[in-house]
Amino acid sequence: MKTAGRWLIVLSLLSALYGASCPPPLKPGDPLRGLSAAELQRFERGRAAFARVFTPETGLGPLFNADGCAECHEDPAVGGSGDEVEVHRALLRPDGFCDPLADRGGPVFQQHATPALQAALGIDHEPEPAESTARAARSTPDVFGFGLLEAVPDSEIIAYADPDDRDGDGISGRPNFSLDGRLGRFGRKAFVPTLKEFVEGAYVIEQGITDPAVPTEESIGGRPIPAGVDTVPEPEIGQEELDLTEDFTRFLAAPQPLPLGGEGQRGRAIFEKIGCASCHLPSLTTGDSPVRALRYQRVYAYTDLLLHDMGAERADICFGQALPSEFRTEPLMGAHLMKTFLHDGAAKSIEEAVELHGGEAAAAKARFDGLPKGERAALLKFLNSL
Amino acid sequence: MRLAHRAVLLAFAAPIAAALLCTCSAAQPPAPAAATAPERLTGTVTAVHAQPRSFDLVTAVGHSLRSRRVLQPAGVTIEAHGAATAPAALYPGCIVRVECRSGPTGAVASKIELLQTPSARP
Repeated sequence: MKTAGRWLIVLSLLSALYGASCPPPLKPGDPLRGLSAAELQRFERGRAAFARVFTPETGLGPLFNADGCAECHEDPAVGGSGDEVEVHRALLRPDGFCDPLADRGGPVFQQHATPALQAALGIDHEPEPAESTARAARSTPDVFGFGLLEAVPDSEIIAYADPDDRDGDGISGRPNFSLDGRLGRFGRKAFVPTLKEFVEGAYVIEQGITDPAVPTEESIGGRPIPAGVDTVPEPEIGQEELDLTEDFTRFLAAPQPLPLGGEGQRGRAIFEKIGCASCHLPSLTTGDSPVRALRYQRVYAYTDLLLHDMGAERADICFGQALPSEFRTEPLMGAHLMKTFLHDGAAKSIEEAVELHGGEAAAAKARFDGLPKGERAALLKFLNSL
Repeated sequence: MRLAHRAVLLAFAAPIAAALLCTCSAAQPPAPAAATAPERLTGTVTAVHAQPRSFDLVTAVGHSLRSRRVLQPAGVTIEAHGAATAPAALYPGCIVRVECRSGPTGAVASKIELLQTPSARP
């Protein structure tokens, strides 16, 4: 009895110690664990910058898709996904060259115009060029854990590429590159090399907010902005606000998956067995980083960050070296938080998203369709836990 | 006495266990890059024009793209691997690095380096 009492004391102390020393489970929108006090402070200030709402008087537009980062990246927390869908266009020339229509305002065509632009040109969105060969819808993904994806070395991504399918498994992931030849990884076509550039460009294309990295406004379908329509001096935000926004996105933690029961564990094995993991690679490992919390971390992103052929039915625009039917493997981390799936938000459930896979994924999809009811349920249980 | 001994051991073990269970760290954020002059652009050629000799160059910052007309004055050659190459070496899809300054009808190149042709892509 006395011994049992002592053990009870020890267990209580250990339990109290564990509770006091470990933070509660990560919630969506929380920062990475292991950030320094200074980084945490920048994260919090960056969240405020990310949530800032712009008006025409503070630089919004004249063309824009949203009045702030968090207008779209909002669910279930700042940095999350959104129900906004934007429009991209490109021209695939007969010789195979992909023209992003930069001289016509492409590839992103903004869906809103400020009152001043509406009054000047009588338009409420950017005109879309008739010469484009395809129009793409792009849903709003969350950006949780993207700092970890940025920290994955190029060499690791390249190592998973198999453009000529030399291993004969029917999967031939290949990298995309930005216009200056660097490896891309962000965006649905893996066109953007770094999170920093993604944020720098997003301020301008999404909100019409110029920044020190992009100090000129987007054109109006390739034409200049009429005089007097945007009188706010460039750049419309300073370097500090830009850096804070970048740090907020960089320091966002990856979503914590839901606990896996026995059925989910079986589902994980089925995920591997039927070939989903050939593209949705369960984990990547970060390399060296000036941020210790990003350094040499394993990130369970369920992507290889490479382009794969998704089939003719899903094809839309080319971008960089990505062909119309090629898309970067969508990260599945945070799948349990998502309300729509695929690059265009066409699927309302994971099951529907699987059914819309084609191209290189056709064989895995056929195996999914052939699963017994229980195995199919187990796989969906696993996917919905990510 | 034995209970007190265990309590002392626990007191020493507690911070070690706490450190093992959760690690926190300090790090410095990356420093911003400095601007350079004259202007240096790296991008993809989308069109080549004979008269006046020029080409259209598209550069990217994220998904924000800009198209620039770059004039190639007489005497400015295209370099590839440190040697001058024929004008025909430049065609849509090529990646080039250009040093230039602004002129009345576009950027005027003072140096053009051919970095990659589409056929040489990995």
